[in-house]
Amino acid sequence: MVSLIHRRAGQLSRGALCCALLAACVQVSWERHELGTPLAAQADSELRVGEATFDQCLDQLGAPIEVWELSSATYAIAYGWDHQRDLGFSLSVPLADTGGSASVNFDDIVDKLHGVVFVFDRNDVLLRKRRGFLRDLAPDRTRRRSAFLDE
Amino acid sequence: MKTLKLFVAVALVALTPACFVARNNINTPLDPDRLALLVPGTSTADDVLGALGAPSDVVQLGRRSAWRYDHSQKKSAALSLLIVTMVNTDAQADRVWVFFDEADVLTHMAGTFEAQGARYKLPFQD
Repeated sequence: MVSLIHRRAGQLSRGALCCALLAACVQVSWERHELGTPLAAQADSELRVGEATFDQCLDQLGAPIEVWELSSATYAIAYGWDHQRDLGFSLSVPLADTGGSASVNFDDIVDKLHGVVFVFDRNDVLLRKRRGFLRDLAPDRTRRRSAFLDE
Repeated sequence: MKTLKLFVAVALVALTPACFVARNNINTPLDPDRLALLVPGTSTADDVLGALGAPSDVVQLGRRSAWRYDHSQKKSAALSLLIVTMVNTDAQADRVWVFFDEADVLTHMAGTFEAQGARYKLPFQD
């Protein structure tokens, strides 16, 4: 019995030592990053284009993460969240002959940068809403002006 | 017995420096009670400044404007076991937007207070 325990402990030690040595060139990473709370699809379903007002939108959804001035007297507000799960495996092999090293990354990255953008007209009525990746929706915006210049 | 001691020693060395937690705050927490002091249609930009202080951002919307106040809290936890590393970050924010007309009278406001909801956890924890 005692010899069996010793044998198992020996195997575990060798395994742990191998892992410790491998750690220099092999890494498995499991990461999760959460920013904000996702907006459920139902949350904005009552906000209908042409009917909903800016007030209703703020009442139902709270404070947006961004406000943008758009062209032609319209403006947009955006709600966004960023949930990512990354499962990665990296292998790095030093190549002494060339003085460099080779490395390979096999990452299964699920990018969850999502958001909803609501565009309002000058009367604060909802013109359109779009859901998707914020980086795809944001290009509609114009550059933010630093100050209003009275004419 | 010698092997067992070696195993315990290796396990201790491998596990002792294996985890960390960190917290990162930006700005001070926003107080919902201060927001309740403001009344759309009545309060002015000066009133907002008195209640909430200087904004983090100002956006011009034609002749109107919007101010943003925010506070965020990020909690990170990580565990590294030999070749496996697990990292989790949870970032939540308090956010207030106030909107003014061209006469600097408050027209709309909205607040979201979630910063205190940030948690230390690992990727497999919900």
